[in-house]
Amino acid sequence: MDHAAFRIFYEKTVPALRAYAIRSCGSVDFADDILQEAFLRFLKSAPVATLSEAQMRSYLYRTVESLIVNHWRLFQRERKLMQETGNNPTRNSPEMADDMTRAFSQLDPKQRSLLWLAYVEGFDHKEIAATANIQEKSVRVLLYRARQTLMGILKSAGLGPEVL
Amino acid sequence: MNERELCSHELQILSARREGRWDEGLAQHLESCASCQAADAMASWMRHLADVRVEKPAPDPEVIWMMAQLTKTRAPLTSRTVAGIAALTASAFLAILSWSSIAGYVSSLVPPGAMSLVPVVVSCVIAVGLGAVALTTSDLLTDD
Repeated sequence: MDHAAFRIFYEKTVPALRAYAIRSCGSVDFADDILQEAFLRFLKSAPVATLSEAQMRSYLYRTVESLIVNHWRLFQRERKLMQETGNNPTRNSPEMADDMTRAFSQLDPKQRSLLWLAYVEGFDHKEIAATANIQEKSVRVLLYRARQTLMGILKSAGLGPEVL
Repeated sequence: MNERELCSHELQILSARREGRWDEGLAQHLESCASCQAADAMASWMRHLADVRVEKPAPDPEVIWMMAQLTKTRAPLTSRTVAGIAALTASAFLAILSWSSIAGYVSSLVPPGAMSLVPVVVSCVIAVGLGAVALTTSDLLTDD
């Protein structure tokens, strides 16, 4: 991928991917760090020449998801350590603490990514399966469960659209 | 509704909404299908969720590109340099260990009068090796 192609791909991919990172980790700064690291890994390691655009986006979503999970583990470990030593965590509380972010962050990472890929990115079941590393046959069931879980969360928080 | 009741029209409904090609048939189906209504409402909520208003600009793609290029070109150079230095060090170590046999071998090849030139030749070989290492690593010193 040359410089110009990367720039076009970046501009096209970043809005939704960044929104996903922000909604998932609740902080713009962390989301941007994660985004930068994901694109660096993509440029250094992804077999770009052999991938379609959807596959490149899948690669980035997988990387972002894995970085968020790692970041979250690190944050939990740090918090536990700080509680044991009687100090407050050094990191700030999430910046995006609105109701929607809170509801979305109650889902597990797999469910978050399934719902995002299906309803924001508009991936079909085959693309979702490749991104989430699951069988295509399982997508319908897992997507349905994820949807039901989020509906439950929204209902209990009084946030859902009327039909939910 | 059980897990097998996800409607097969769901993808059609969602892509029609996204691409703005809504028609009467889809509208009729949506009116009568609870699964598609739920998917449609969920998609609408998710689109709203994706519409994040952040004042801070996203990371600069130029910076990401530049960082990737720097780390890409440095990795092979660094490993090649390390291999060169390791080979040179190993050769020097072996030469020191077997110096007496090397000196004996060289004296059998070189006339006694030219033996005084051997240290000069050895020094030249070492200088060429060090020069090669310096050339390989020079861009690492000047890139930053």
